[in-house]
Amino acid sequence: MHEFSLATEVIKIAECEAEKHKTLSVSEITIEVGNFSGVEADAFKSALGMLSEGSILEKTRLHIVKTNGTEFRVKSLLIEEE
Amino acid sequence: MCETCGCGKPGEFVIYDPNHTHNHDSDYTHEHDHGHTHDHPHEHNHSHKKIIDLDIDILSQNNMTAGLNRRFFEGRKVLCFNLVSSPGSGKTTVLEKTISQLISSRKIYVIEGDQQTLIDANRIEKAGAPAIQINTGSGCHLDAKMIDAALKKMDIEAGSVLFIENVGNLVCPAMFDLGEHKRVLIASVTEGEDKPLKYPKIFETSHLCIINKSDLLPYVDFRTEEFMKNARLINHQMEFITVSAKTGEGLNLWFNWILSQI
Repeated sequence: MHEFSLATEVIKIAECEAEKHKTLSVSEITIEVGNFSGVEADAFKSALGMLSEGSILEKTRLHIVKTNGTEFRVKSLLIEEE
Repeated sequence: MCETCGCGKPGEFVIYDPNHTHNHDSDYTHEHDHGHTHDHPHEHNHSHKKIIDLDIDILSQNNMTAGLNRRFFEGRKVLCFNLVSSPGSGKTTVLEKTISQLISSRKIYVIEGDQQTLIDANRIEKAGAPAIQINTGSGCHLDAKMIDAALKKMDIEAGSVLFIENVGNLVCPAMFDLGEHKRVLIASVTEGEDKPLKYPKIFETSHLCIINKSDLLPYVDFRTEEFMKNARLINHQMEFITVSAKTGEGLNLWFNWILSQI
C-alpha cells in the first residue's frame, strides 16, 4: 500500500521535470531503494507499473539500485530531447 | 504545482499549438527576393538523450517536514500524540472518552485521518473538541505535509493537546513521522496476540500500546501476557495499558499517562 503513495510521488516528480525540460519522453528512471527504507522494491515496481499508465512514465525503463541505507531516492531521469 | 519539489507553478509555461493559424486580411503584400534557393530539403529527426540528476529522497522530505511540525509544537508547548492502529480497534471511541474526561482542564484538538468521509471528525466535534478531517483518498497513511497543512487551518492554543488519529493501517503509518511527541498504538483483543510479530515496525516505533476491548476478553482467545511478550520482543521499552473504551475500565490509567507527558 505504502509503495503506491511513493509511486504517485515519483510520477509527479517525473512529470514536473519533463515539463521543465520540455520533453514528452522519459527513457529511464533510476531509483535508489535502501534496505532499511521499509520499501519493497518489487511492490514498488508493481505499483509504478499500474499507476504509470497514461503518464510520462508509461513506457519508461525502471532501474532500481539497492543500497544499504534508509533512503528512497529518485536518483535520475534519462530523457530524450527533440 | 508539484507538491514534492515545488516546481511547475501555474502560468510558468506557454502552450504552442502548431496547427493554429492566423489569417489576416490586408491591403498590401510582401514580396521578397531571395538570393538563394531551397532545393535540398532535410529533416531533423534525431533526438538527444540527456540525464537529469535529481537526488530527491522522498522519505527524507517527510522527515524534514515532521521536524518543522515538531518545532511548531515545541514553540507553542503543544503536546502531540499520533494514534495508530488497524481499522476498527476503537481509536475514535478512546478519543471520545479522552476528550470528555480532559476537556475541562486542557484545550484539545484532533486531526482525523481516513480515506473517506467526515464520520470521525463529526464524532469528535460532538465530543467537544475542534477537529479537522483529512481524507487521504487512495493514500494509506497521513504524512507530515498533510499535518502541516492541517495545522495552518487550526489556530492551536498554546499549552493544548493535539491528537492525530491516523488512517487505520498497521503498515504504512509506521514509516511516516508526523512530528508527534509520542506514538500510541491501539490494539484490540479481537486482533490476535501475534500482531506484534506480524507487524513489527509499528510496534518498534510506538511508545505506548493500549490494549482495547478488554470487556471482550472472556469471549476471545487472546492471551494478554502473550501479546505483551511478543511486543516486548520487538520493543522492550514499550508501555502497556489495558482498557475497555466501552465500559471505561482502565481508562484512568490512560488519562494519567497523558497527564504525565505534559
